[in-house]
Amino acid sequence: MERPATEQAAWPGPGWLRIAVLAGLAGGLAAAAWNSLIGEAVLGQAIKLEDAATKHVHAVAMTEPFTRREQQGGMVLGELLLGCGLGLLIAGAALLAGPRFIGPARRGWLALIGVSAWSFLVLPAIAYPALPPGVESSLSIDTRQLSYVTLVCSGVLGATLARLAWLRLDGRLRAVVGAAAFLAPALLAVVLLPHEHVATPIDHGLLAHFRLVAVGSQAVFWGLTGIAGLWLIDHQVGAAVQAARARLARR
Amino acid sequence: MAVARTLVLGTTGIRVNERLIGVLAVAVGAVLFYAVMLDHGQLINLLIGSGVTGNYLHELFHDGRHLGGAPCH
Repeated sequence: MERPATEQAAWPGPGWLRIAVLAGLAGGLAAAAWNSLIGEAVLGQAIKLEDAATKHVHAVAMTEPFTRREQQGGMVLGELLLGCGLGLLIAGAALLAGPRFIGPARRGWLALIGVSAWSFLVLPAIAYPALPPGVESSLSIDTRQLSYVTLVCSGVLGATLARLAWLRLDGRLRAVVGAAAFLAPALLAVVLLPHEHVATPIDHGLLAHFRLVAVGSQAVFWGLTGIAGLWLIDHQVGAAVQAARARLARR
Repeated sequence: MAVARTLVLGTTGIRVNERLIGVLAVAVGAVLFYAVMLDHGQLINLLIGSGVTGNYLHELFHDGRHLGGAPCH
């Protein structure tokens, strides 16, 4: 009878909230550090070019609600809030899907982080790579935002369908159908969503550098979130499993 | 064996379904994600009223949005 008791202890339950939010905050802090040390310098170059190009407009009327220093503080706050928000989304997904769908906590966490990085980082970087301030897109902001959200959802949908195929099918079929289910929504989204072009003349070296730094920021976020979550799972769930084993041994 | 999907809060005996907590977590997480990465003044309008026209969240989280790969302008 050891298995069910330790299995129950191995499922964090509402403890997913604590694990995912703390891990997200750690990821957000790491991304904020990356942005402060590396990202802001590249962003500053782009803003200088933007200011030079729109000098006459600023001279007429525009007043910004925040100074650059306040925006840099806002970046740190934003990364922390984003880490908290994405942590809540991941914890909520784990609680809604349940232990049979997610699997053991450690493996489930790694799968959730992998799907999140695929959906929030890889797919947008392929279809709508980051643009620095002052660089206009050929698409309107509403179209870009809707396309961005659709792309993220296509990644999550593909992973959900792939997991369902994996759980319900056997043998080679489940690997083939699972892979197809994982990729199909994302491929459809990338092909069917409106394509974007840079509509402002810009130094291509600066654009490439900015995009590399932006991908780096997100990679740091997801990497640190993943590692922090694993550490928390090992401490929280590992302790619960050990306690369950000790209770069984005393009987 | 199925893992228990409800929990009892303290001594009050209130049973809370994990799925309900999951729905609330997703809802709050989605609002935070929207506020930081996508909002263009709608949230403040919703909370304070249409008299406020400032795009404050967008401007405050501006740097993080660009470096986070979200569409900003």
